[in-house]
Amino acid sequence: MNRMIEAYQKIVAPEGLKERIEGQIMQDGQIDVPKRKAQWLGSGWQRASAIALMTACLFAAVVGVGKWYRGHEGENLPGICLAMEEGEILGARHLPVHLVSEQTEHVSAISWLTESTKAAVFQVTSEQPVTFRAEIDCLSVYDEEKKRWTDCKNELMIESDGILCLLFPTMGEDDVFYIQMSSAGKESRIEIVYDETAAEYKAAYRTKLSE
Amino acid sequence: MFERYTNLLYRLCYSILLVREDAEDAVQDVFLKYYRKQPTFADEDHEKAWFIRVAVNHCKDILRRRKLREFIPFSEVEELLAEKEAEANDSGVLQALFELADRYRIVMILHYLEGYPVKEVARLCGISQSAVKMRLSRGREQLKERLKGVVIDE
Repeated sequence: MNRMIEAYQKIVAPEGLKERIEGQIMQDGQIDVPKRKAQWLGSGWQRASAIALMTACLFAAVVGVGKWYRGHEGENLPGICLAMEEGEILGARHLPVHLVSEQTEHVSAISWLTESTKAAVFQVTSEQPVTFRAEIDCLSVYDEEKKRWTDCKNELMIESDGILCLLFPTMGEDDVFYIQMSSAGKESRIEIVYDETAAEYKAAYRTKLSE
Repeated sequence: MFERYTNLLYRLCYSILLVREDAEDAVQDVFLKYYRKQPTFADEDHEKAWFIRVAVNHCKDILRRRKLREFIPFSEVEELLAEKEAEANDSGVLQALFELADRYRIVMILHYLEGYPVKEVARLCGISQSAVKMRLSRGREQLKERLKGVVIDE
């Protein structure tokens, strides 16, 4: 262990790094400040609506309004399908890894990437905008025109007919992962944990329908 | 501030990211965050913990983005590691640590090399103490396996 510490201590910052950082900080006023999440969510009423929805969901979660429905367990990543009806999240469930296409009443899984990327693409056909929030990992959307994934965000809002991809690329075996969704005042939460006995990820999801 | 933390942060970021240029950028970003936020601290330990926490989180973000967008064949990773670590790693022990998965490497660096107790590592990484202990245990096992007989003090 001492040898490891000694080797570790030998790692030093390269010459010029301090000066480079100092220089960067000196001109910090000219650096583009990253956009705030609220800006990313849209503008005007969209932002206000998103914030209001999230606040309502947080309030509902804290005070325990509504009743929880505990759904299926034991289906593997990578995808989660959201069942929606007029903006209301009725439930969520995992889809089989090798599924190519599946229709539900309001959500279609339109394609899958490889299993190793742990990704799935969904077509959300709800008529209401939906807010998705991933507390640890991130959400990306695929830009059909630019043929690339957008930057990874841990918070995003998509309009109806948006294409949503839920990614779980970095989960550790002992991590617990939550995705919280809200739409039209309804809240759903999905909890994904690693089952050591079964050596696989499992989803325990519950939908909380506000009353 | 620079004198106090540049080497510490660089060492930490480099050990997590394993790419010199990424580590430099990460250190810069951490200092920029500090100057933009201008946080106040109760004491020096608090300040140091803030820097480490921000650095670890930032590095984890970088790793996450890297995993999303890049795929490097393992053979190339090994070559990259060998090349990058040659000057710093004269015993091969550190190399073995660097080959561990991120989640084990980060907690082992903070605990064994930076000297933080389990409770503090848990706080810095935003995970439970039991998760830290489990990662340390698994990390030690994997390190032992890689070092073939070298005793890792617990």
